[in-house]
Amino acid sequence: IDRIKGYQSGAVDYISVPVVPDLLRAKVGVFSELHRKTRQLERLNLELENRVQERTEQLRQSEEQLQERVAELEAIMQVLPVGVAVAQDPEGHNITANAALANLLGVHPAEKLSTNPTAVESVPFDVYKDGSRLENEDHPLLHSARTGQQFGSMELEIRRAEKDPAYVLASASPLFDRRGNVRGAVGAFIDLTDKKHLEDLLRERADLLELATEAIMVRGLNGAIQYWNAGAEELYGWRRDEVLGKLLHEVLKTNFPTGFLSVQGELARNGSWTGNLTQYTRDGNEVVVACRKALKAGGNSILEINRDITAQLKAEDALRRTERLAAMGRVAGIIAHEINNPLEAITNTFYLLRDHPSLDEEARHYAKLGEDELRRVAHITRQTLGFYRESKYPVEVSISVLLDEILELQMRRMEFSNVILDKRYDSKGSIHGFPVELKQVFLNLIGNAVQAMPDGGNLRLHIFKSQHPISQRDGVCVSICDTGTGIDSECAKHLFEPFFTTKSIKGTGLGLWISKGIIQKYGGSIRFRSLSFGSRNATCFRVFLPGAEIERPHVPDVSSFEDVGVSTIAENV
Amino acid sequence: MSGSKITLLCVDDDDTPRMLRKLILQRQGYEVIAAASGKEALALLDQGGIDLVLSDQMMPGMTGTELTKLIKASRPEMPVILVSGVNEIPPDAVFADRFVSKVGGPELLFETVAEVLQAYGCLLKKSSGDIVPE
Repeated sequence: IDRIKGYQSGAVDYISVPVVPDLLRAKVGVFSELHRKTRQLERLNLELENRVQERTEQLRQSEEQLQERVAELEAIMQVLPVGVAVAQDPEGHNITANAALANLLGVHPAEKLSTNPTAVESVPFDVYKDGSRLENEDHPLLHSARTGQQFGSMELEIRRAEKDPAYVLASASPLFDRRGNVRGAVGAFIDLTDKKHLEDLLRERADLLELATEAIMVRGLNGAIQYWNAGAEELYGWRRDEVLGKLLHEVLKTNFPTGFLSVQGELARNGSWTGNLTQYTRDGNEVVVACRKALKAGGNSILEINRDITAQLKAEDALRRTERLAAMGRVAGIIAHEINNPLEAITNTFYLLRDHPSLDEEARHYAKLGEDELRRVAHITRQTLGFYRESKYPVEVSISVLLDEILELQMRRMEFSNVILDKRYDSKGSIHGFPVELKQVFLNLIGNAVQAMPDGGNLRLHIFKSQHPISQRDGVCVSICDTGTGIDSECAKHLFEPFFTTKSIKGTGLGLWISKGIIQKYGGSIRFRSLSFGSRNATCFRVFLPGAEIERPHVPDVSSFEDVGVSTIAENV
Repeated sequence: MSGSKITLLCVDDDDTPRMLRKLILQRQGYEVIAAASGKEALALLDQGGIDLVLSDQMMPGMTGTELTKLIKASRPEMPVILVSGVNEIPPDAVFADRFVSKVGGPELLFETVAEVLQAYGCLLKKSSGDIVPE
């Protein structure tokens, strides 16, 4: 009982009396050792608890950091302008893509990009390389995930449903697990669509430049040609490879209207210059161009567009001349009326006067002189102020017969001047017309030819069947060639103008003008060429007249008669 | 009006040229009646005895070609010659037998008149005493 009481009151042991000293010593020793161990254990336990707590905290922080990193990466992936895809397994069953890629591929960002070929639903896009479709396993990402190979840059076209195709530059890199096995891949896709469009646009613009009929050039500030389009090749005859790097204005021998320096000055001041330039083609032909120059932004080169206006200027010149002649024609019509009416009266007066019985010999002589002079005036007005048809209807005229008649008239003069005649009539030269008019034309041309050879020469007449150079109408061609004094280029310009003559007071300057008018009235044409070989010249006139096959109206209609008028002739020049 | 002579009707609105043309034709032995307008000419034609009409082209009221058309409509056998100072042949000049320049000189006029008359079968009859030009 005492023992129980003792334990209950906290005793660790109970020793019966008598106390054995050794036993007591042993027991006290054990208990004090036990107590020491217990205290040590308690301390160790506390230490351990602390360490666990510390570790747990560390783990929690790591976890937090990891989550932050993942969120960060996620955010980076989503904001990256580059498309990124991650294949989570080598088969590509599970692929995640960022927003940029989803947008590129035309899929919803949340959509899984599984490209499992056995999947029933296929992806809403197709991938093409160089125009041919890629199988799923050949896509860079899947290829990389499957083979563990790095994939360099590859240009791909992505054709999307209901959207324009997108162009990407794709690359892929495999992912490995710790054991070094491929566990997936990461792919990056750079959108090239805008660049591609820009390229297309640039190519289109470049093609447009090549299509332009204008000469388009770019030259450096030093004048060296940097660009030369097809229009420039066409206009100047120089090929691109022949002129690139050469000095533009040396190649074209440009003649600046106000001097090179003033053009350069204006270009520098205003950034542009517009005006006409005279240049030379490869063949040495002179061309006039309407030129626009602009200093390129940045100011290190000059853009130049030149339009050939040579023909336009010529046409304008011809139009001005025609207008002048038309005005002259109208004036001529008025003059004809105002001169011819009194002229007839005066002529008739002199006719009556000449034989009047009251006149003595001297007065009669004067009257005769007056009448002769009047005849000259009448001749001039008939020649200049219009034409008369001696018959009402055109008849069949043989040009060969007509020429022979004219030659008969010219025979004496030709013999006198030692002109040798060479006739070649390959055709009778039948046309419908008015003999007197036609005679006037050929008398003019043959007369001029003979007069051009006062010291002898050759006159060659050739009649042959031909076609109108433009209308292709069948007809007769007559060429009249002489080896006389020739026609210089200055005279050639004015040859068919009224009152143009080289025969000073002997000529009226109307022969060729009238002849041209008559020929044009027939729907024909007249051209000439004068060549010189040293001191020798050859001048050739070629007249084309539509042939007799063409049925002319029996009763002349309004238009054919209006052609007779002076004004119309002028317009035809 | 002598029955033996060929009678020409000379039409012109301008007095002096008409008178002179009449004089030179008379000198050729023709009987010449003058009219100052197309209207007057038509009235004279109605009186008869005219062998050929020689008319100016440019006349106020009725032009030579208009007159010609009216004459030819009622008298196809009446020869008409038109003279003109303007060297342009009007489109309807075809109705006249000839269209002659005023400045061709008297000889051309005489020649034309004679040719047309001959074509119509009239003979140039000259009464004695007429001055015959060389």
